[in-house]
Amino acid sequence: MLNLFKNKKKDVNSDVNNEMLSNDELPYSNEYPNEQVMFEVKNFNFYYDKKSKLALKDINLEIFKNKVTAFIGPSGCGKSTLLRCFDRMNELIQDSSYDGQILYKNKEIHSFNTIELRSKVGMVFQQPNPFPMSIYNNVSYGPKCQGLKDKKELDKIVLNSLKDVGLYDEVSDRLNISGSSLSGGQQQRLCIARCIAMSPDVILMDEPTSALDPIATQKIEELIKKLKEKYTIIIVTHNMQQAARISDYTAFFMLGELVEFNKTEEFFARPKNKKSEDYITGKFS
Amino acid sequence: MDIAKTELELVEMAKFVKESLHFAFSYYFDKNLNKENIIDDAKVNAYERQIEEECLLSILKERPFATDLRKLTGYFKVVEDLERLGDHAEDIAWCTSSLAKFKENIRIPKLDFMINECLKMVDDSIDALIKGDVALANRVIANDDLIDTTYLDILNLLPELKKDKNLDDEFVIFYTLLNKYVERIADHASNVAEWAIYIKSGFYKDRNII
Repeated sequence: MLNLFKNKKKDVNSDVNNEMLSNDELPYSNEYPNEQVMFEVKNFNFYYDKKSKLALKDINLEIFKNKVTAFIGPSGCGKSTLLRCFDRMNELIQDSSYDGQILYKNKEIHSFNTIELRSKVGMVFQQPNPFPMSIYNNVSYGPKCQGLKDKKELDKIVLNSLKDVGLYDEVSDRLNISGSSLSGGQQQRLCIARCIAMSPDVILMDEPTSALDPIATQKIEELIKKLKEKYTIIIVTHNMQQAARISDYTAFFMLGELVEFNKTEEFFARPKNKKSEDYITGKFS
Repeated sequence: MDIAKTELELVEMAKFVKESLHFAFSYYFDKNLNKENIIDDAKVNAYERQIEEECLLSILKERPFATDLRKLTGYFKVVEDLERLGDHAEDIAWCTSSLAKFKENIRIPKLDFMINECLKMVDDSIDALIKGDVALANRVIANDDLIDTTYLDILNLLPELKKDKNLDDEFVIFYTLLNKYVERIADHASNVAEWAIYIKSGFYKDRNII
């Protein structure tokens, strides 16, 4: 397919274009010309407690299509806060507010209704949280909520989603058992299957392996590497080795500020910022 | 992470190797020195094993990044060259002892020049390693071409010398070996300088490794 937008440089100062682009049409980054921009965060501040606490300060950041971006930094640095801004979950927190912009496919995220946005921007949490229902119903829940009733179509979505997360062979003979009866690692993959059943563009992951054993962690990490072929992934992790292993880009946050955004290999080998160097070499935590 | 301890041991090893080479060439220039006091190759080997082990354990336990990773991987590699420099100090001493058995006694000014240049390269490469001085390391590397040319000149000169001065075959062979060892020492000094650059910048032979 001829991509008319290839090499079209994005004007970062342009006003918001309210036209939503297809994935092929996404603009290319100025700084990383081979990357297409899925999300763009512009001069973004986020506040808790009626603006008494500034959690994110003047964040400017691009998230690239079909890449894994890791958010790292000490506890309380704002990385999970920013993650939750992408699907507007932070707005559920009382007395929180924001200013600045987050563009999703060149369109301000507040121009979407939350259901529409969250069907395209899925979230996987730290603790696996299958719904109290069967494996089949966990995966088909989203499409059903979107109004899909065709059983054959639902079967296909469940099958493909479970296959994509490498769970199908493990549960194909017991799709009717409760999702909660699976092991922790299987539950987390079920949650990822539930997420991709909605055919999202982006998967947000908030420390998805911190509650899992090393073998389950390795399976999720391998899965993330595979999933980026189809989806854009943002992962918050405290595990720097994990960020180094699975991400393409790394954003390092401290005290609500984005200290450094860089290609992961460069970030962990030759960080540009002294604070990044000190953090990854354990000179402070 | 105990990189500081490993770093100190590397500095000790580098200084010990440097002193060994200076002793070895002093022995060549002044055969009255006691060669038994010159070289303790076992000590150099022990340094190498110790530093390699500490680097591997730190990588295993700490999973280092950035400067720490460059230091540990760089130290792991540079000890090989330092150990070879230690070996060559022993080789120089052995060649000198062997030459001393002959009645012939010649001086080859080009070889003396090459030895002095080579010792300077060793000193500078070790300084560059210890201080993280990239400019100095680059000067060491640039000097290696001069050593290579001089080595070839001497190699071509030896048959003529043998003929002119009617030198013993074995005597000439020892000089050939000596010439080769000096050239190899300069090569290893260049390698040390290349690792010094890598440890400082992540570049190895103009290629960005990490």
